[in-house]
Parts: sequence; C-alpha cells; structure tokens
Amino acid sequence: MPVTRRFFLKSAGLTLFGAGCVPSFMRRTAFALDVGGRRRKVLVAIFQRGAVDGLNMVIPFAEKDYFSMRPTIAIPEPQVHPATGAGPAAIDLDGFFALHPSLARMKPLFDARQLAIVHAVGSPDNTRSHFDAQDYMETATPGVKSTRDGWLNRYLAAKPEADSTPFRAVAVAPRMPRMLAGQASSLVVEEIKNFRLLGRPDPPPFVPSTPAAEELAFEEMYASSQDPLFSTAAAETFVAIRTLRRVAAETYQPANGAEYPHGKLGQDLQQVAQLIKAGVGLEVAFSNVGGWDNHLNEGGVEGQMANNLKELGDALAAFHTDLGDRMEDVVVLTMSEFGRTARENGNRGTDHGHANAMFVLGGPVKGGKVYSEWPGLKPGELNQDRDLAMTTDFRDVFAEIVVRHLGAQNSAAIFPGFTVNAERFRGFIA
Amino acid sequence: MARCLTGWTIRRPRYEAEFFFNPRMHDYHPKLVLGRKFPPGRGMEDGQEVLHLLAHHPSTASFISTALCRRFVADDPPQSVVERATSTFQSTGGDIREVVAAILTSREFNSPAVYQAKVKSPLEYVASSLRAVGADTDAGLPIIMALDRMGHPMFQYEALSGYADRAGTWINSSTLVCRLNFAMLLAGGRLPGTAVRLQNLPALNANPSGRGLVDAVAEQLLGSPASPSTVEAIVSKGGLGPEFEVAAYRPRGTRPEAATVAGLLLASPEFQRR
Repeated sequence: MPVTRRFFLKSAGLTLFGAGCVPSFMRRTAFALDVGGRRRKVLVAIFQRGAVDGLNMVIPFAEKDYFSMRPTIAIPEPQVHPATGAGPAAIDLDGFFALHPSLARMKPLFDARQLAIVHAVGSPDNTRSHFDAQDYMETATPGVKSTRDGWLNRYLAAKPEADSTPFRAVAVAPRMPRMLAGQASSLVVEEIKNFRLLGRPDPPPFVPSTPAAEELAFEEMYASSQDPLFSTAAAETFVAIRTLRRVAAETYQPANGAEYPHGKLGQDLQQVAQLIKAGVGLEVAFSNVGGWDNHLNEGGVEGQMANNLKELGDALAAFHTDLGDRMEDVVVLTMSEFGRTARENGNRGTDHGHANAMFVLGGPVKGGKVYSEWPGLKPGELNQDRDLAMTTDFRDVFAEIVVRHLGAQNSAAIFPGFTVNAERFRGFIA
Repeated sequence: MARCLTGWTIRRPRYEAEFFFNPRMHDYHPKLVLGRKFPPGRGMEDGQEVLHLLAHHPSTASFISTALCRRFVADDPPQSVVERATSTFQSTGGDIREVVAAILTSREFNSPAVYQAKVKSPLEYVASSLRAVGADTDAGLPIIMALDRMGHPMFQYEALSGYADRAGTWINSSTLVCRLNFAMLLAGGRLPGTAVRLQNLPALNANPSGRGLVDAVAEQLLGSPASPSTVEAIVSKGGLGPEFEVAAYRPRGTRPEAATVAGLLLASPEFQRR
C-alpha cells in the first residue's frame, strides 16, 4: 500500500515504531534498535581546530634539527634505557617517529595495527589564515572560496542510499559544520538528550515513549502545511526527535570497561558510539575540538598542548574500546587546517605552518605504520624555510577513505577540480 | 589594490578612530589595477582613485543590486528586477535609497508569487517573535544563545562574505527544533531577561470559542490570519482542554492556554517566512 508522508506521520504519532505500514527506513531503525540490522561502514571525522602542532604530536625524533629548532618545547627522544627518575619522553613508534607521551593510550592501538598515521599531509594552498584554511579543508577545494558545500555532504549526495535515515550524517557540534553543509540533509545533535521539543509551560511528567501534546500539534501543522521546504525539513525532524527519545531513554553504559575522559571530545565521541550502537543508520559523524592554536607557551612534555593531547588520546582510545567488534566497520580520521612552524617562536610556542599529521584509526586501517614521504626538516627541506613541507595532499587522504572504506564510486563529484587517482593513495586502508 | 591603499591607517589605533594617511607607509611605485595604469609618485590619490574605479565598475552595480533584490524579493530574484535595480544604481551614481525604492515599487516585488518567499533569518525570526508578543527584553544571554543555536551567532561568520541570504543557510532539522523551542519558551515567559504579558492581548478578551480564538490571536500576533492547516492543527492537536473551547475567556485563569496557542502560532511555518 502506498505510504504517504501524512499517513506515516499519523501512524508514528500513535505508536512509536508500531507494526503495520511503516516506511522502510523506519522499519529498519526499529529493527536495528532491537536486533542490529544492517551494519553500515562508518566514518568519524574529527577536526582539530586552530592548527595542531603535528611535529610535537608525532615527533620525527630521528631529525636532529627538530631539537635545535625547539630548544624549550621539543619532546625528549625515546629513551632506550630510561634512567630512573627520568621524565616522560616521546613514545617510539618505528625508530624515526614517536608519539607525544600524553598520547600513551594510543600506543597499544598502533601496536595492534588499528592506528595509522599520515604525516606531512597538507594543502597545496599556502594560506596561513585559520578561516581560509579550515574553509578549504572542509570544502576540499583549496584556494577556492566560493564553494558552498562540504566534501562530506557531496559524498552523501554522490552516494544516495535507498534505506538512509535522517541519521545518515550527524554532527555532534553546536552548529552545522561546513564539511557537512549542502544539499544532502544531515543532523546537528549536540547532545542526544536535548534534541527534543520543550513543550508547554507546565509540562506533564516526562514519559519517555509518549510525545508531548504540542509535539503532535507541531507535527500536524508542518505535515499539513503547503510549504514544501518546511514540510520536508519537519518530517525528518520529527523522526529524529522520536528516535533520539528512544535512544536517550536508556542510560548509556560504555562497553568493555571503556572510560571516556570528561571533556567535550570524550562526551562527543561517547554520543557517536551510542548512535552507532543504537543502529539508527549513522554513516558519517563529525566532531570538533579546539584549543590547538598555541602561539604562546605551547609546552612540551607538559603544558597546554600536552593536556589537550591527553584528552584526544584518551577519548580515541575509549571510543575504540567501547565499540569493540563494531570497530571492524568504523574509521576515525583526525585533521587540522595546517600545521605549525618547525622552529619555536620567541614565546615558547609555534606559529601557523603548513603540513601536518593525521590519525586514522579503525578495523579497516592498515595500522602500525606512519605513512609519509618524509620531506625532512633540514635547511632547504622546509616549506618557505619555515614549516614542514607537504608531500601528501589532504584530498588524497579523504579520497582513499571515501573510495576504499565507504565505497564511493563517483569521487570526481566529491572532489571538484581534483583528479582522484588510486595510485596516489598512501595505502592505509586495507 | 592593496598597494594603492597602503598608508591608509588610524592615527592612534588603541585610542580613537581617527583616519589618517601616513605617507611613510605608502607604496609610491607604479601600479596596474583593473587595467588602469596608476603612475608612480602619487600618495593618497591612489586609494581614492581605486575606490572611484570600484564604485563605478558595472560589476559593483550588479553585485549590490543583486544582493538587495535577494534581501527583499527572493533567494533567486527574477533577472528583470535585478536589471531594473542595477540600471537605477548606475543612473543615480549609486544612490541606495533610489535602488531600494526601485525594488520595492517593482512589479516583481509586489507579485503574489513572491509573497513570503523569504525565510526569516534567525535574527529576523527572533526579533519578529519578540515584537509580536510585545516582549520586554534585555537581549541577554538566552537570546544570544538562541540565535547561536539557530545558526546565526551574531558577527561570527568566518568568511568575509557574511551569512548567505538564503533559506538553505538557516533551515535544517536542528535549527527548526531551536525555532520551535524558542517560540514555546518565549510565549511561556520562560526566557530569563524577557518578559511577556500575553494576558494583555486584546484578542484574549474577545472571542471565547476555540477556533475563533486561535484565529483572533493569530491575526494579532502574526499580523495576518494563520493558514487553515495551522489553525486546524492547533485546535485538534494542541492538547488544549475542553474549557478552552467553551468557557468565557478569562486571561488570568487561562494563561497556560494562551501561552500554548501563542507559542504554536509563533512556531508555525508561515511565521518562519517574510
């Protein structure tokens, strides 16, 4: 029987996920919530806003210039035979690169081959403006300011799915990030339990499965409206509200002893995990974390950046632990608009630079390796004599993930003005 | 272009906003801008000439006129009104008042086809809601946060182009939830720093019957009748008690009902547009 939107809204209003004529995606959501439905490949994109110092995050300790360029903030090289009482040092990965000690919880992931690092990744555009560079990375059109949509949105549009739900793309953020902005719809859910209608002045006691009376009125107003823009947006909105009400009804318990750190990133990733496990049809998740713009007092082994890295490492490790087997289908990617200067500045910090390091974490990743065509830090090897030079275009990293992990076929539409060529993929996705 | 403007600065930047041309900071070498050669040795005239060039450039007339048409008529305004505005701009030497007048008196602006074609930006939505209920507000944090959540953190757009004046910029599931919640919170007097006295609405004293009341309140708040589908939705699904339908309307006793009706009306699809 043909299911009109009006019919579906009415039946959804009466019984949440009731039996009977329910559109396919609703059926799948209900099914997935109860049993575990189709397992989608998932990408979690995390934007480190402010330009993280990749050279202190993943230290090229074999480069002697690293130490002379950073007299106060360099991370001590890995100790082969640590003396008693010696402070923390970089954590050796492969004899050339090492992790900042605050990322200790990521070392086991690297050893278990779940974590890969791509280094000296950057943009062909040389801007040192945060705004412009973030824009270029989120739209994946470096140098072009007129692109309105994000590359992840173009991915969604290029690969429509018959059974997609309103949760196909979710940004755990206060506003829609540019990376997800565009024609294809995506959801902004800063906190699962707050994505709801607040209702009348004297609300009746909150009963999780029953929508408030105004919710029905709102839904009816919008469903029966002659305004196509709003009736379409509203249809998805109300499905999202009901689904999240159901998800939020149970207190979430991270699995396998995972402990998320208390900061925002930990909370954001926990919500992403919750949505993945709830089987609501999540395919692309986005979060961002700030505080990386360390012009002043960046700190070395300890300090501002170290604190931020601890939160990052602990949150990623907790997410990995929490998802357990489900990580088989999940890839987490970190990115930042550019790196920082190779030399420290006069304020024990670093300034805007060029190439950077990205983490790629997940079951499909060929981890335990740092993928890089390392350009070096010696004089003559730096970009503009200031920064780490770029040897991998960030679009190649994005492309490898959308093609090899998410299975996109129309990559030309996703990366306008760029020729995707699998031969340039670094090979971090199996 | 940047070289022409070298030297244009502020005399005491941290103290007061006094413009001053500093010849020591100016680049006196020859320049080429928009095909025009600027001879060497000129100071402030370089900047003045480049501004003159830009102001008279046909693209400027067209860009500004298009933006104004997008502001008043529709996201994609008909080419005819854009052309009319552009030629007015050019013939009046950039008199914005004349350009706006040309747009507002145009056939295209006054056409029923573009009635309420524009979706209100969050700022327009919040401001029109506050005015509709006669709110007394300090425009404090709850209002700022509401704007932020609706996707319009004031003055914080990252790029120089500013917020795009289009429906797609403002409307998605999450911002829609914010608008609906804002309407209910506002009407219910639950926004700290913003006082609403709905019982003073004259409509509330007039008509006791449910449907008629919704119509009267709509006329009062929205400035025009609500659509039949909106009225029907409120009356049938608004969860309003039987006393709302039947009894004589007493503002004090029935305040929660008034707040609900007002909130639903402010949240209606038609009130999202202008």
